[in-house]
Amino acid sequence: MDLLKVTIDNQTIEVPAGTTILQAARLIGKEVAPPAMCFYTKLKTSGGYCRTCLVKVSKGSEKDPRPMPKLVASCRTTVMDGMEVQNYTSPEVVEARKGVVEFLLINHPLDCPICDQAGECHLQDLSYENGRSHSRYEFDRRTFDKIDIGDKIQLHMTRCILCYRCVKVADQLTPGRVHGVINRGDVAEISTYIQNAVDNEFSGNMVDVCPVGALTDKTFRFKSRVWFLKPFDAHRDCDKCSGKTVLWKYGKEIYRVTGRKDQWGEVDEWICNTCRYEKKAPSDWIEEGPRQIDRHSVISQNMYEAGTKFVDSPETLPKKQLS
Amino acid sequence: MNDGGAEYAKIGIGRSTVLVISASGNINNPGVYEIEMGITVDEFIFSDQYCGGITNGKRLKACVPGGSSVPILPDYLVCKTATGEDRLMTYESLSDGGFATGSMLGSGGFIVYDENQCIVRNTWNFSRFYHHESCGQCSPCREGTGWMEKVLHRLEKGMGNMGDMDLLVDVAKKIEGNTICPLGDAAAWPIAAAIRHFRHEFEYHVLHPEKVKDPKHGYREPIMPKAPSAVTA
Ligand code: SF4
Ligand code: SF4
Ligand code: FES
Repeated sequence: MDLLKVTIDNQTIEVPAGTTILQAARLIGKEVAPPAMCFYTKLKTSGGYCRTCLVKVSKGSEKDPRPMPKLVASCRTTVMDGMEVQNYTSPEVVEARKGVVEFLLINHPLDCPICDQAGECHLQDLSYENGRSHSRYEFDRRTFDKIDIGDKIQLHMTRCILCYRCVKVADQLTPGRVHGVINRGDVAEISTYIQNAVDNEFSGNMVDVCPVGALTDKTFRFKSRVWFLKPFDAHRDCDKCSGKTVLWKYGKEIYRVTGRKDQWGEVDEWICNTCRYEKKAPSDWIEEGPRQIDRHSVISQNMYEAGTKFVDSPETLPKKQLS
Repeated sequence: MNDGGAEYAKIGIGRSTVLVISASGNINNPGVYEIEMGITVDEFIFSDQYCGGITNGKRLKACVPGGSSVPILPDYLVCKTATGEDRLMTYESLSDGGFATGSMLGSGGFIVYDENQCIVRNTWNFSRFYHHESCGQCSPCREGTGWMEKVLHRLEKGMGNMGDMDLLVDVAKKIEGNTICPLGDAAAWPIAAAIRHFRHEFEYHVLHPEKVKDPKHGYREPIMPKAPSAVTA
């Protein structure tokens, strides 16, 4: 197949047709990859909602070099041959993204100290790396009551950023659609059909795809902070899923089981609820060894600086990006 | 239309041919008019064939020429462009001057304001509409429209502060162009334009909280647009 050439923040790569700008940027590396809060490789039609991945297309293609008139969502825009894209090198993009982060935060409770997601929260990372340090919002924040969707998952809608990922999981991974978005605008909420339980073998994956602490594992609720736990790759013979998971342990005790996430925070393989919720004894698992966490959050302990891009000061940009 | 494409193309000027305009606001003959494009805005507002002038012989204060999402124009830019030419009812002429001194013919929702109307209240009203209409898929529009509405609400009620205008302009800028669909732009433009041309009226709301508590304060003390030289485009 013909390869298309695309240049992102001055780094060029060749990718097959149909690749999105976001995917191409991820292939180059994290110093040029835009943050993505709603796109999820494994979920069809995901992306386009959050607008954190906006980039500037300064040259459309070799054939039609005109720049695109507006910033585009890199997760939903496919590469053309000869395209030139600016991400962190465009002040316009950096500024727009700051705006998006601010919008995502104005109605967010920021109750990180009592939020189970803290430490592995994409919104924390996003705002730390791309946001502004204070809020200009002076009104009451939108709040919702917590609800249980099924006996294993709690929905804390107040924290939801409406990325639609869990909706796609419910839609694409589980039979019968009982879960979706009701209402619209800034009172839209994730909900289930007449408070129905989301009850099937793969529903637990909604917790893994949720970038924030809106959907949390009830069996892990308030048990520990994630950064006190050590992740281990493990597997078991499972007749429903691949059985390849990560065990989060404190000493010998297994506190929770999740899917294996790659450096972009996306799970490699969906896991079933039996593996996730019912197998918490060490004898249930064959351990493969400690898991390398590539993410730059606090869960990787003292690694926060390593991958951080401070958008405000060009001196601190990774060298590769400046060259 | 019955006479074929060639005949149709003769009507009006250039790209602008005939259009159905829905005229509303403080005019003597509100209604729906099918106009041949190319007549002047002045004729459209003041002739008896169309809007029939401003009610009760009042002064024209402002006009939104193309539906609530397009930039509002202050009196001195309604009938004349910034370069002093007659403004015509055409796509081209109404957008003359870009967003700095022009607007758009848009959907043809033509709204006229007389001297007593409050631009802050009107802008808040528009923002309420867009806040309500936002579908909530994408973050800038979902969160931004609600935020702008809240800030405009407090300005309207005399509880705003001098930083609010810059805040609104900045928030509008961060929505504009960054959303999935044009509703974000439509929500941002009228607010940015109102502050561009009527900033002194927003400031009045901050400085005279007791006066603006009465939503009809404009009837006692009309606030007219500032002369062109005083406007920083
Ligand atoms: S979802 Fe993230 S940002 Fe929100 S309270 Fe939880 S940890 Fe904090
Ligand atoms: S609950 Fe989580 S996954 Fe679902 S839309 Fe909200 S933030 Fe996204
Ligand atoms: S990741 Fe592209 S819009 Fe959310």
